[in-house]
Amino acid sequence: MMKGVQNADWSVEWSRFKCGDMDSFRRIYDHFFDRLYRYGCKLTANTEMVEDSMQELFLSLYTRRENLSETVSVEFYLLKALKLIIYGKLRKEKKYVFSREENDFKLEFLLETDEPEDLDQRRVELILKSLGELNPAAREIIYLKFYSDLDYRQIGEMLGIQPDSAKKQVYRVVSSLRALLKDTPLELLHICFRA
Amino acid sequence: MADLEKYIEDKRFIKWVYEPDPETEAYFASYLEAHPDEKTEFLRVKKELSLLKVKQLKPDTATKERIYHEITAARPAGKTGHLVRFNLAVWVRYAAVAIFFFAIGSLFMYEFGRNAGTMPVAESLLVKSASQNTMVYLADGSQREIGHAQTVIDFSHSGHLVVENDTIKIGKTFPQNSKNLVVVPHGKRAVVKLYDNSEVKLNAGSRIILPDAFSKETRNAYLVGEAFFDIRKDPAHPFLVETSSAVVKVLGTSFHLAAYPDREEVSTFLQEGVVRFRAADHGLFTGWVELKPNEQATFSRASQKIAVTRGDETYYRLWKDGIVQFNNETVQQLINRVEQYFNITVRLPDPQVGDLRISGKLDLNKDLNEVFEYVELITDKKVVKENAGAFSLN
Repeated sequence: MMKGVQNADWSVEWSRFKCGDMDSFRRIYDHFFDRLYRYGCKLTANTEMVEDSMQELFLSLYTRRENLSETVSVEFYLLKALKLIIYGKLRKEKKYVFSREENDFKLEFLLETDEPEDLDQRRVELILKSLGELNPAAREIIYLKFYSDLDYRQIGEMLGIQPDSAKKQVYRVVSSLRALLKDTPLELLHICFRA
Repeated sequence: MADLEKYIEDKRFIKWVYEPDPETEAYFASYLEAHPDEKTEFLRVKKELSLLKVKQLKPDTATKERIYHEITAARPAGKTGHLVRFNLAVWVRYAAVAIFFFAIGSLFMYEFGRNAGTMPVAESLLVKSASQNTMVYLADGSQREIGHAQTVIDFSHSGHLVVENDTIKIGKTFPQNSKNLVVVPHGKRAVVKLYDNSEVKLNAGSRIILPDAFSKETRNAYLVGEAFFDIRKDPAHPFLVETSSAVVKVLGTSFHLAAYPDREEVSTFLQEGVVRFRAADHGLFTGWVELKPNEQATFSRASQKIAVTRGDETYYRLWKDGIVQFNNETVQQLINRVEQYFNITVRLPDPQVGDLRISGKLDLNKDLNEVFEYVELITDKKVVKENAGAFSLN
């Protein structure tokens, strides 16, 4: 149906940057800044911490450029590094071991639609309730799937789960939403987003 | 699942739903025109997927530029370090001398708790003491009065306070979260040595509040009045000085900070290095403002804006040594300085004298008589003692 998006080849910019091309550094910074910042804001509500972490991340790239590894996905590398920095800070702040269970990924679903009449109050409540039941890991998977270019293998790696498992969660959530939007009497629907 | 996959695994479709740009919009507009039979399903899936759209914060351009500047301005040479840990020191690797003038419309308009890393300060600490002598109130509930005009208050010995050759054991902090407080009244001065050996020269009529110990993350202090800070370099523990309306963040630097409650403007002068500064209620203008050497930032509480201008380096350098430089300022301003420094009042029976413009340097390290001689010389008037601590310039 549609041709794949010609993904700007950031690994080329990355190599240039590693060789000391500061224009490439600037382009990488400009391109990924917003995306990283937003992802960071989902990991913690502390925007100052996000800003400090962004600075740490890019400064470490900048200082260590010659020793950086070649990377297939610049975006994956950056998101993962940012997550590690922020988790490190959160761990320090909370002074306890930050295990995966303590993932506190936050999403605020907008539920905006072009045709509001399709969504009666009852349905909106049900959708919100279902989305509200998503665990933080599922929220993070959904977010990375739709707001980044990571593939399932990379998403899995971000969360320490199998690629298949990440993919299944995405489809489970989308199928459930699809069911909620159908004209089926709501009472008959048995919605389950979880595994 | 198969029919969904066609859409979900198409990056362009996902972009169209979640982060559409004109190019994507145009692409799908023309695609659907060419394939009208697919339109219904396309829009239906788009609607379904739209339910997973989330609220996104957008960083402002200024933040983005500031962070970029901090990264590149640091020009670090380091090549070591593992994946994401590295030395934060680089952005203030230059020893810095920063000078700050803060003035606030209202002394007690402060907000805490909303800014990470800041230190909550009880309002009582901001008003405590009406003593004529320098007072130290310890977090364990005890207090100490010091009669000397100039004194050194040393917190750098763990668990002990050293004042005027006395070593005082500091007890357990009680109640919890109590602070150490040093109050210097008008006419007195003090040097406070902090836990990390940093030094703070407190001017007359100033106070500094310290936590009972520096936290693992940051070193915090709260200042009312005016002081010169000589902060030990420790990049892993940024030093934050708060005032009622602004916060200064440094990793290791020497700077001057004045936060008098009777001034409307807040201004900051940086002599050397890098210092960041922001409003205490930083929702007013987001994030930190970074100063380059010899720049002065002036924050107007009325307009809530910061203007960065070139500062007068000489003035601030002399201030540190107790010398006030006057450049075409009024006699009244000079008198105000003298009054505060020596804790006296000087009446001006002839109001026109107060409006005279003067230039020169006033050395406040001299004793009062010498300062008066100087004042008499430049104003061509006579200082007359009316009673204890009260004078007039006739």
